Amino acid sequence: MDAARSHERPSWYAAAARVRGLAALAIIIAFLLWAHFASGIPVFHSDVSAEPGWEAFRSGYGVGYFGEDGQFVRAVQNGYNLFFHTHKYAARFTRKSAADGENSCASCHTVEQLAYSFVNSDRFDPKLGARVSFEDRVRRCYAGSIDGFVPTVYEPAVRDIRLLARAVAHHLQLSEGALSKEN
Amino acid sequence: MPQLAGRLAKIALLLLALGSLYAVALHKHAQREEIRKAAVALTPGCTEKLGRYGLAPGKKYASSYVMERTGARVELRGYSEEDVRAIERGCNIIDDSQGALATDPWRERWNAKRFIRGNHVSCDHCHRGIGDLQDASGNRLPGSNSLAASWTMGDMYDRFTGLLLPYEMRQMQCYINSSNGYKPNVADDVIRDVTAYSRFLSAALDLKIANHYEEQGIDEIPASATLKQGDDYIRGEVLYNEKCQGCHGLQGIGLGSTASWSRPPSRDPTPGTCSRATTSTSCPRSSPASSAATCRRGRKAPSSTRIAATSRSTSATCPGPRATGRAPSSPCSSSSS
Repeated sequence: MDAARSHERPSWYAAAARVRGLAALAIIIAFLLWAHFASGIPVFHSDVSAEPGWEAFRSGYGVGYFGEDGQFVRAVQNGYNLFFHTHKYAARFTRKSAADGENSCASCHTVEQLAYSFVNSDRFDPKLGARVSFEDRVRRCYAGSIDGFVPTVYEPAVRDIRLLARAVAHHLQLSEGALSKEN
Repeated sequence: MPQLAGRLAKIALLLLALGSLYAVALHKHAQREEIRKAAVALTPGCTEKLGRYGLAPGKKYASSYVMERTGARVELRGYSEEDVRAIERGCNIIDDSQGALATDPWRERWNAKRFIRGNHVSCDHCHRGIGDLQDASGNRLPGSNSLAASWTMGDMYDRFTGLLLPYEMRQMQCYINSSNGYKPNVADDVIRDVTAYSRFLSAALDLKIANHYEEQGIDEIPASATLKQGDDYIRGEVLYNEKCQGCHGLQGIGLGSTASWSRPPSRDPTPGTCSRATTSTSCPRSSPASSAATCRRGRKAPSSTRIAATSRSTSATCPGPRATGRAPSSPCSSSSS
């Protein structure tokens, strides 16, 4: 019965069957090329968007010490974006209505303060009754100061802020527990 | 009516079980809080180390080591009593990870032993000098796996994991790999206290964040330095033969006379051979050893044969049929019998 049916199929059907595998492969490759090069969706490419001021920051704070490119430098750049453009790069952890301003970490802190905070973290906080890590402080900022939501501890929105602080701390040649002039 | 009573009984049981779990969690939480507040009994090594660096609660901290070395007084942020206890506990964990010197390992080491498997290893075995090895003159030694230098280089790209590896996750890697054990939670006190201790060491030595120090890793030892220390190799050989070769074999490939009884089996580090010499449950087909290796658990060969076997790269983990007097069965066929 099946043999009889195959006899009834038009000739183009067999040709199509031959190329459909290739066609599926071509569609997948086309999708990957589009996703990486043309979509602009951040999850599909590892480049970090260069915001205004990044190049000046990079040279001013000696980020080149960690290499021209690489995971660490990209994470620092993402930390820069998060710090100065929080509403844009950590939108899902911020909460604001149309009436609210576009708050960012830079609205309250400088990157130097961030670095000093980093080298003075993991200390006991009498108000909280616990030793508080730098990551916990950042998470509390998202929840409290930015009136948003708490990221997980290894969320890049937390991690890259820490790496930014570490890069600046290196530039300032801070040691553990270094005190700023304000202190 | 009986059906309703049955359902209510089930709901009550479920609530009771959940309530019990909650009560246990509260109890454990309170217990941890109590341990954090308790005074710490230091190991002799930690008493000397922390005493030398002048660790004490206070608003400011100035390292006596830095003053000795440079003559300058560098004032840093001081430590609260809670911070000091965390640092002390961290030091104890490094010096005596499994609590051999503790009267109550759970209370004094957070029972770090539960994350280590099958040996008596302590962090100090690799991170020598309780994570800060110095010579008699107080010079920090290259290649000593200093925890302080390691902390300053935290968050850097790690080529083994392919991650920007935070310091806490580096510790997890130690428990999994170096200790052949299990991974603690990132927020576990056993991790956080070691971080506190490492950060204190970094402050005491006045190391700068993200600077590269030669005492950070074992890779830092230059070849010339090892060539000059031939005596160390001789002492090392004696020590190895006395303490290690029973399980690891003369050539360090896991075929010692007691290897068949060790649980977990001794690791075979030879590239391209079966991963566990004594069980060989996972010898890949593509392994160069697969053609010759039958790797039955419990098979042993005379040491002379073992040495000969190691010199042949394709049959490094298993003695050949002549050594055992038996013909090989199927080649490396998951023979875990």
